[in-house]
Amino acid sequence: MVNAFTDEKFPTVIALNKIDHPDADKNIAKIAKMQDPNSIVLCSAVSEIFLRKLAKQGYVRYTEGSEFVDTREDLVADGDPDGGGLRELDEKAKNRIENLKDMVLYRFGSTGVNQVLTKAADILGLTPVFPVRNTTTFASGANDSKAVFRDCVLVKKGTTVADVGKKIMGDAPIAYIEGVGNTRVAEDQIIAVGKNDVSFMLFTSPTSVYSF
Amino acid sequence: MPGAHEGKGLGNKFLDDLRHADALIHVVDVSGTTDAEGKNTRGYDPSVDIAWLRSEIVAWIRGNLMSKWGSIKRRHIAVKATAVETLQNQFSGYGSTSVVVARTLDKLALKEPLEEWSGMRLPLFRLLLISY
Repeated sequence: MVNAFTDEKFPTVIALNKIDHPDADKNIAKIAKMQDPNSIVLCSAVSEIFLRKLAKQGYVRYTEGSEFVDTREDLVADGDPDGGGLRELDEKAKNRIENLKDMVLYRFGSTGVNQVLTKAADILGLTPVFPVRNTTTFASGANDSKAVFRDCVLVKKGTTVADVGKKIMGDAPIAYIEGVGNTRVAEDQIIAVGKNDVSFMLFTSPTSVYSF
Repeated sequence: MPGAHEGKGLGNKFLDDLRHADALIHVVDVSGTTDAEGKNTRGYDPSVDIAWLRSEIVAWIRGNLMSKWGSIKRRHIAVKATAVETLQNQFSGYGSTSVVVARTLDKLALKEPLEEWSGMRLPLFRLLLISY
């Protein structure tokens, strides 16, 4: 009974880190046999930190959670003479990126760090909703904010459009709700990942909701 | 820290912090270069860490429950409580709700009433068979 209760109250994501290490493969194989494969995420936190740092400093173009990293050289080869305005990398960093692509990104599809959080939301039966103020720029919060999809609200599976509206807007009256192409959306439609892609809801106040 | 449920290391503090969590993320060093005490090594088998963390949590909850099982059972019979009510009384401290307890019992589908659980060995044994 305690075992079953532990499963219910403390659902656990197992994040297998340091997957780029030469000893990792045999340990991953062993753990994959022992544990529910749906609870496992493979990741390389050091790779994610490295890529985010390079992206912040203007050396690479990297979308967090994706398998794509572009260097200045890559973009020049793709026909952009300015290389996307990126800075030139030294040999050492270039080699490290190549290694990281071979050992992590191309083998596993991503560094896995974002996937850990996605998996946690998934095992809890939560759907991420991204409230934005403007559905053209997807900027969030305050008027001068340039952050795109800055905020994320997690709602239980089976939550309806009206529930989400109430959660984000409080008791503000809702005039109407719109989806893709300005078509009306029913209040009792269930929010789901993928289903409400690029759909949005307009309320009387200027906050809109964009959900995945 | 192995032995956390007995209060080793920051054991009880660590387990106490779990209560506020909705889900856990167990970050495992799958390169086998960190041992159970966090020291650098090579060739450590990290698969045992996963089983160990879980068994610490289970031992912690079971220890708390078993230490007063006799009086829990007496109260359960005296007030004619449902199994969900009695267990939720004990598990509310872990941030549990009646819904979580009811879901647990549904999944187990136990035939014996709570007052006949013999130190909870029976249902536990069955569950272990299912999960391994």
